[in-house]
Amino acid sequence: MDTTLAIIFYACSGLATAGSLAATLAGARWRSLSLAAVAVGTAGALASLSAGLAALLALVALGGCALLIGALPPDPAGPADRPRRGRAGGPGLTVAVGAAMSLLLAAGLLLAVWRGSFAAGPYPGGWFGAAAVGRAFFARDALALEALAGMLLAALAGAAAAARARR
Amino acid sequence: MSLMLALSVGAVLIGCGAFSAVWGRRSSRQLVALPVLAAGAAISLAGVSRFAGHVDPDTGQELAALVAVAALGATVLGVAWARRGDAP
Repeated sequence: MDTTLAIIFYACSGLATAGSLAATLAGARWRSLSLAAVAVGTAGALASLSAGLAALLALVALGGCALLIGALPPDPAGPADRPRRGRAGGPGLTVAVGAAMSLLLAAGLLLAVWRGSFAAGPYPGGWFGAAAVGRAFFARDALALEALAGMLLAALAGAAAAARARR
Repeated sequence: MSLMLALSVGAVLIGCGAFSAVWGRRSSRQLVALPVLAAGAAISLAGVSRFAGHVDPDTGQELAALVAVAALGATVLGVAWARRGDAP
């Protein structure tokens, strides 16, 4: 069973990573599909980590992100969808520095992961965890849930105000 | 599977998200970074909860779900901001 879960985790992690790179580098018409792959891959990885409820919520939330970003109109000028270019036609200085910094960030995080010594122990929870996580949501950390609900409400109100302003 | 593997996948996804944020010229492309960063954070948090959360195994899962929903809220605002110039 553990081998099956490991295979699912590897496959879903690869799908999420490939989807994130494709969403960045591919054209605008592939963006929604790539982000959907990120959502499915993340949900599968979370489910294989015994976080079934978080997987379900991540699938809905990240799938919603994919739909929203995919519904954006394509850029009217094609070249604007490409990365910033320098004078010589190569990537601009900002993009080159940013890409190097993101690579450094990933390398630093990986170094911290592989060189760090973390506590480990047996997992006492179930594979879905709806009851325990629900208790944490609504009893212990109710303030965090209310803050998140307030943030979502503010985001929807802001989006509605922006749409009204466009009309 | 191990904690290091889960955290490594999270680190790679966070690096991809940071790369997405700097790669595009338009905000519509930079918005891709939000769900990718949230995915990396969620996998890391769930991994910690699964492999190192023997005292409190629910907090990591709870935070993973919160991060994903927070990314949705931020994306709603970002999409509204990106479409602000589409008035006919």
